[in-house]
Amino acid sequence: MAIETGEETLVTPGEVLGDSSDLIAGRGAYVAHHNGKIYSSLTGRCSIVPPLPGSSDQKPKVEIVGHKAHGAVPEPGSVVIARVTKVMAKMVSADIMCVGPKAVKEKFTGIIRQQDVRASEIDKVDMYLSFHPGDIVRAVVLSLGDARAYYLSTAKNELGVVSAQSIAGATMVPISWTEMQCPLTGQIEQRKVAKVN
Amino acid sequence: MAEKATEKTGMEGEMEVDAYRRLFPLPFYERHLLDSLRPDGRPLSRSRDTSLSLGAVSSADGSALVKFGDTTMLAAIKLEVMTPSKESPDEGCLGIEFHMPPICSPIVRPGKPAEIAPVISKQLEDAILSSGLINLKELSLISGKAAWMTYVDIYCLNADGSLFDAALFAAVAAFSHLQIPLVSLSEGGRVITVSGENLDNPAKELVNKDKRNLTLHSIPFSLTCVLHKNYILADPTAEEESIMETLLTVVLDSSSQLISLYKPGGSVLAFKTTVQDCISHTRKRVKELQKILSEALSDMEID
Amino acid sequence: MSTAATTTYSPSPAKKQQTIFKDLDWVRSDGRGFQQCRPAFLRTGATSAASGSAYAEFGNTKVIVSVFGPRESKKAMMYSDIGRLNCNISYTTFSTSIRVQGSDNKEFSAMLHKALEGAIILESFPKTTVDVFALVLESGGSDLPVIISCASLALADAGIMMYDIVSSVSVTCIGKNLIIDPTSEEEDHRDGSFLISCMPSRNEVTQLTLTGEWTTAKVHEAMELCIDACSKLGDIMRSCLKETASTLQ
Repeated sequence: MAIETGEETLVTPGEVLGDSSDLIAGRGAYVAHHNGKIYSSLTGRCSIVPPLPGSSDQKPKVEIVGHKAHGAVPEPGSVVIARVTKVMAKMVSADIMCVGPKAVKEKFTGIIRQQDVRASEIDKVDMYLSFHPGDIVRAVVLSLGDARAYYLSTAKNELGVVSAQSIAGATMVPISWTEMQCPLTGQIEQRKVAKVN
Repeated sequence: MAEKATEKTGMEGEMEVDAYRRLFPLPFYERHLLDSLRPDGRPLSRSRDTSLSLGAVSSADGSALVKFGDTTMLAAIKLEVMTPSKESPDEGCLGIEFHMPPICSPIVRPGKPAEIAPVISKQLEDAILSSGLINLKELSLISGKAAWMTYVDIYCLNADGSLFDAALFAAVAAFSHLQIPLVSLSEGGRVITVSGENLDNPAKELVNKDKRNLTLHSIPFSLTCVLHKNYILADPTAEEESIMETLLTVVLDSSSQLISLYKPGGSVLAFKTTVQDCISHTRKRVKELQKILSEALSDMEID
Repeated sequence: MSTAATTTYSPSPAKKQQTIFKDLDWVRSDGRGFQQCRPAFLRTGATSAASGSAYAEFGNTKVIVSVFGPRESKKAMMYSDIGRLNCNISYTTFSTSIRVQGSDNKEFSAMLHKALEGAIILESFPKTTVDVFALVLESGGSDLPVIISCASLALADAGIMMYDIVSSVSVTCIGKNLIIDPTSEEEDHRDGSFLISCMPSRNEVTQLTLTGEWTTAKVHEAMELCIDACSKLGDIMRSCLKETASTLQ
């Protein structure tokens, strides 16, 4: 129970890390309301982070680091990479493959609704001229969505199609915000293209 | 290798190698194949580390636990007594079943069995019966009255590719570990096991004193290869099987006789030379597996 | 298979009705004291295909548990702000001395769910599902408590946030004696059974089942025995987790 600042010990779920009167529970730790104690909820190294100078709460924070955390799960605000599976008049469905820089073990289903494709002229969006099945899209998670899918949005410059294959089967090159070109045939296809840095 | 994999996608720096691998599996693999090395560091024709332990299941008459890399198979044999059919009064029977419980893979769920499981069951049965591994006459106890029904159950505990090969090896290893219980005939005409203190002084004459082990005739071994363009990848992982869809499985017996060859679809045409290459890979693999099996058996004798 | 229709029987003789258990001072077949658990062998990371897994061996009871997820909830599930736990237990065909058709144990699955649910921080994986699947390789008695403890280890291995680990122990009452961590044979002769799953560090019971005939005094005695054993098992489970964690670094 006497875990000193800077010291790192291995803990497992349910081990007492300290008291909420001296510490703040960080990631992998929680406060039990019945006794005010802080417990670990994960297996890992317990680390005590001193308070930032000038922050309102001057208690150090205890958190669990270096553990084998569970796989990435989409959360509102996460940037995800998804593969388009189906394009419909009012929305597209896509399989979320990565959350942030991490690949997910098993895909999650997301949908991009017509109003969430781009920021302007949202009622004029043609889904069929924005996405094709198989396109790789960068999107942000708007909300947990409904029972079936997470709601995704591409309504920012840096969001949209990041990789797409042409009808000829080649990886296309973006030429504008709305167009990509096949390097083999020179044919131009319409997409909601993500701005390349 | 990591840097190489993320070249030319326009997405470098944004994601981890694993993410690139998940999104663009085929280009990821093809870059590795150019160097004749697979992502797990194996040369194309090398099988994964293989281990075998016999007698893992105490409630069975014969059992074996096999690992091909992360693919894990547990085979157990249980003997029960049956009445032989009129057509073959001197023969017992084999029942082979391959199971994929939900623990073994994220794609299997309770109540939704893996489609591949019954297919592998059938392939195992074909390979074991057509190789002549077991002489069904050896399973006879009393002609026309009683014979052994041999239940072979193979459980996949962790599925990471080449399931048939690992299952077949587990099954034949369980057969070589099989100890037939000593039995006698009870007053009611039932066959019952004799054990413990009754062994030295059996009330009834033993039915099968000299038949504690089965003679294993030509043992079948197999190797699955994934075919992609001109590449042949031996003993594929689950990822390799899912990305490159053409599989070729060769079953040979201990004297390198061809028992069967499966090529369940896939787009790559298996040319004659490819098939020959796969067969020669399998020959090498058979030697490895034979060695592992005989080492496990001799370890058991020492114990 | 065509042979499936043939009726077969196991040659092992039907178990003799043991009268030994009725004596006050009989000896357990494995030589243990009445209040002594079987040595536990625990290991995490048994199945690489899963997010987390564990193997537990208590005498002849051998169990593997795989944890998948948090992943997309299957079936047409209602939207839920908190995570879901889904449990399933199945047995191999060779798990018992007489071969059985391998099948799901619905009752145990439901009990496993109840034993674990209260220990998992479901808010930490909204909308998604964590699947806990157990396969009993060999059934050697006290199967359910072994599965529960093993599942809790697998959940911790998967990095699922929990209030505490869950350890579980059962006691069987035969005549006047209380027998801890019973074998199948001892369970077959029970007059009553008592099972506790608890969170040892928080000192809270997540599940308690009591069947058969019990006096209040015996219940108290059984409870104390189990809680003490759960706390010791909890320590073994923690050292198993720490061992894995320290080899990872």
